[in-house]
Amino acid sequence: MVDQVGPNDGTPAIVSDQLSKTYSEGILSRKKFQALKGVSFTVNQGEVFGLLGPNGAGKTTFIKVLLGIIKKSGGSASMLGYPAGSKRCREQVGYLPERLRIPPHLTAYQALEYFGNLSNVPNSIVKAKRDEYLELVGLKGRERDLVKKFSKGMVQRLGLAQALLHDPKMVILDEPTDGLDPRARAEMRAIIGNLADRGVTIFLNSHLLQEVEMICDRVAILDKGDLRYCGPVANIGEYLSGGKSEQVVEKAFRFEVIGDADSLNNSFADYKFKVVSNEGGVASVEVKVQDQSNVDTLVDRLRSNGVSIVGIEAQRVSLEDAFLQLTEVSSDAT
Amino acid sequence: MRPYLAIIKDSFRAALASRVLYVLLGLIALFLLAISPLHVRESLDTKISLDRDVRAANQALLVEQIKEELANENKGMQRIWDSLSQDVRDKVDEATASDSEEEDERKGSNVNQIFASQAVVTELNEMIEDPDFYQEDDWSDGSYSSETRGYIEKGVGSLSSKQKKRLNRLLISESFGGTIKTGARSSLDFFYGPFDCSGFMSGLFFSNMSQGQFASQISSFMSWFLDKIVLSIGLLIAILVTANIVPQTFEPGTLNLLLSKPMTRTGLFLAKFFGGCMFIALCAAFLFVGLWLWMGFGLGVWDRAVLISIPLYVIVFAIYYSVSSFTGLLTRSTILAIVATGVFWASCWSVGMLHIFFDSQMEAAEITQIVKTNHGLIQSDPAFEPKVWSDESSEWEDVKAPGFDEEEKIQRATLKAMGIKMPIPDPFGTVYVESKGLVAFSRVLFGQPGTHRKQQFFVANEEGDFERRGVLPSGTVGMFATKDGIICANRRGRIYRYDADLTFEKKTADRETWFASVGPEERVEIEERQRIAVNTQSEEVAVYNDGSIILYGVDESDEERKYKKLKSVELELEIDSSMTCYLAWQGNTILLALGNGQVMLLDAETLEKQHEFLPETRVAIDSVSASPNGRWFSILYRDETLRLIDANDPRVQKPSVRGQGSISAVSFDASKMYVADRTDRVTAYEIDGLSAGETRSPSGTVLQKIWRYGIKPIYFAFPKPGEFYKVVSHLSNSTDSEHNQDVDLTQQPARPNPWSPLVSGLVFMAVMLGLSCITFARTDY
Repeated sequence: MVDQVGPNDGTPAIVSDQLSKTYSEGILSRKKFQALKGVSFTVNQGEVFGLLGPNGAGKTTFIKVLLGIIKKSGGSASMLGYPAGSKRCREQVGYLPERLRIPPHLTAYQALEYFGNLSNVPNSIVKAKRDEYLELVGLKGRERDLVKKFSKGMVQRLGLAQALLHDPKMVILDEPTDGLDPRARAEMRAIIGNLADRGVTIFLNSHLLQEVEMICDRVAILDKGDLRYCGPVANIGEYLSGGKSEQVVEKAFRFEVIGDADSLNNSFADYKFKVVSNEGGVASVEVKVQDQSNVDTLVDRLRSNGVSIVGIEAQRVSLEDAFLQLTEVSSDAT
Repeated sequence: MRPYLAIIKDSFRAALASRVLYVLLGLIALFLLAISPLHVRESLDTKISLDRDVRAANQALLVEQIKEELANENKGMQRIWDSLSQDVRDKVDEATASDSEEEDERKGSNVNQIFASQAVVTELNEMIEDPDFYQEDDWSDGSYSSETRGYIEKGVGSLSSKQKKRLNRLLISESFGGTIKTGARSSLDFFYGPFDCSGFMSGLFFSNMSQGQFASQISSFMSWFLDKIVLSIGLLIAILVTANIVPQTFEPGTLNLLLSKPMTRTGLFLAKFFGGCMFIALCAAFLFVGLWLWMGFGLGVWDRAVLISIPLYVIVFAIYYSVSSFTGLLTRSTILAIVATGVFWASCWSVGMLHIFFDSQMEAAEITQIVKTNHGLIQSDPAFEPKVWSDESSEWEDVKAPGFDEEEKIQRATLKAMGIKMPIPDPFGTVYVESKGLVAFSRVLFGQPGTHRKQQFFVANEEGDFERRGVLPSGTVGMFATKDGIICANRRGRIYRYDADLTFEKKTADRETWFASVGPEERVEIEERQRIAVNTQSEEVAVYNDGSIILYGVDESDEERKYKKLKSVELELEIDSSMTCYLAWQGNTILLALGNGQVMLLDAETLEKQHEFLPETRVAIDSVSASPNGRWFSILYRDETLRLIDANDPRVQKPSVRGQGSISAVSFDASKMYVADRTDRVTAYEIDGLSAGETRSPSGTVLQKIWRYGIKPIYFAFPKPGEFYKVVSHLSNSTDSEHNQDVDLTQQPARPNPWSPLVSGLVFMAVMLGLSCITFARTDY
């Protein structure tokens, strides 16, 4: 199987400090478009890190700056201790681009040889490793088939294999599951998990939130070039409730209560609520409130209206909720 | 290097996958298979070719020789005469009737004799085909060559058909006493597989020829074929099949991955570029090596120019491909890359054509002679129409001479516009006799029909107006000023002196000459103008003929002051008798320059060689001249550079005069040297010290300004892919780099800086690749 990467020496995998990128368009480059607006965050080695954002948020731009495909306009960035885009840092990174196209005249073996050579891996090493990697990505048995006969998922998996050939310390995956069917997505997730287990830093760029939620330790959320959040997926609710964000964010509570409909309607009248279930006389009601004082007020009202409270549970904020809230608020603000 | 080699390797894989490489290699293989059955076999030479077997000077004499041999009762010639048809016999009779030599030289035309000779040779070839042509009685009195005797002794009956023809060929040649060469023993026959196609091939390109002649012809044909056919078609195909390589790199999903790999963008682009070039190099190598092997095994000609063509023509492709790649990089469009390459090709072609047009125009206006006269400085251009410098207008103005009629004017203007420089034969002018203030030139009209045009002779009166004085004697090869008169010499070595007092009963100046024959009795053939030199201070004449220098002087005891032979010396030169030679004579020194580049100074008294030089090994000499005091000798080379030799301190020097590289004429008077450069500028230099004096520089025509400030610099900087054949030709001739005394440089095509196309092409390609790399490196993708 894939070799374990070397010991983590403590150097961050990615350091982005006030990174910005402005595109110039039009005749004489008079039209400017700011794709990254001073983005700062750090990714540690060994992490599975997700970069989220709606279309046009600047995710791919960020990756291209890291790899030197485009030049930054301001700030600084480094990967594995080397300036972003430098040859040394590219030597240690594997990259699976969005909408990968592998020359269709190559077989799987030839593609690995070609891309391996491009990563300065000698043919002898490619030959020694290629079967192992093809097996890892589930292409065993298709080694001598032409790429033009491959499905989109197979091309993506072959792309992942080529990104790993030179044993990189970090792998950057740009929308790796885009366009794949559910089974292929699951397989891709499994492969990524496998890599993460071996200590490879994974930098995942995706707009598929469930996937990111499932496999990432930490995430960063970009929107229109601004960083909205950076931290563990589990902490995003706390973040939202901790007022760290400037926007007012609602919290969800679930009330398990016993009472008639009128009493309940009167009690919840001032809040957004939804009856989730009503079984055995116990109604489950989800209510959106802004802070704890609202909860206290609600308890008082329920009790004064003769409603019996079976239980109260604070609802955890899902990544999707947070994503929507963060990007929605910013849209509103703009 | 590994990543870049991987990209080059992938180019081949892509070509193989797209089947383009297979198709190209298949087409080349088909072409080679189609030509491979064509081969030559040596066989006996049985044909007479007038051009090949009879020297040009003797072609007209062939019919006279028939009559002479018949008069000498040559039995073989009698047999030939009897075998000729009545029609041809009549032609021979007609062509040989009348005219003493004197009369023939004055007005005769040998056109009839050449026509008759052609008719005779045609029938001689028919006689050769006759297996019963040889009859023992007719050929019993000759002393034949060993080859002929061999056939006769073997017995004619036992000879093969081909051998009989060869015997007939030998007998006929020998009946003409060597005027018709017996030719090489063998000649070449062409076969396509088992089929003899000599007749077809001779109709297309080749006449009956030896292996050496064939090798020369096929080499020049192949260089034309490779440059014009293979390169044109091949280049078109190559551009079409490679145009997509760079744009394809920019397809979504491909470029980002490539750019994320640990390699430089410059290296990535250059690897893509060289991948395309290598692909074409493979096809070119297959084609050219195949051609080379076919020429070697099939035709017996191992021409290394074909192999040298491989890298050079790949460079030609690379020049075009650099444009295609740059456009592909900018636009990411295959179609636009092809269009841009087509536009570039058209630009190169246009610049080349403009250069040829302007160059011929400038050459037609270039000064070829300068003479300082009492009427001012007179120059002549290649059409030898003299122009005199006018201080008033600061321009060269036509001398006052009788004008041309309208038809002649139109013809001259047309031919000049087409870049055709001079009429045939070359007119002479201008000559100046200082002691008598005599200025003269000759003129040949285009309008006169036939090959034998008359040299009209003009002399200036005291006001400087030129008046017609009849014609120069027939066959004149040179006109010269002497101490106190004008002389000219004809091809047969006869010298004529201008006599202004001659009068004619009939005022038919068109047919009469004011030149009187003044000997000498002992004469030698003078083939070219350059082989004769006149000492302007002594009237003596030197002639070079077949390795000997012969001096003639005026016999003062003779009433008519005729010329007589003074002395002759055979120089120990191991060179071919046809080698071009240049003579200049002033004072006590004769300069002899040979076509192979050798230059010698001879003592005019003893004709002993005093000094020998080899100033340039690869450039042909164009002309030589000498200062009247006999101290300075000038050598003007075809690359329009000037060298001087000081007879007092004999060494060759490259003088620091204006316009080295564009000098077209040099002349001397008693105190000055006049140097013409840059088409029509003349600068006078003090003969001692070579300090520059007055310059006559006209303002120049619009064409000249466009040429000087537009076409010439653009042409210099522009790539010249259409001229790579010059580099091939230069490299394929190894004798170029060292002196070979058997090579007559004047007979070889002029090659001004053969490296120029290569250098300008490589510089252009480097600029295009540099721009591409900078663009690629600075662009965000």
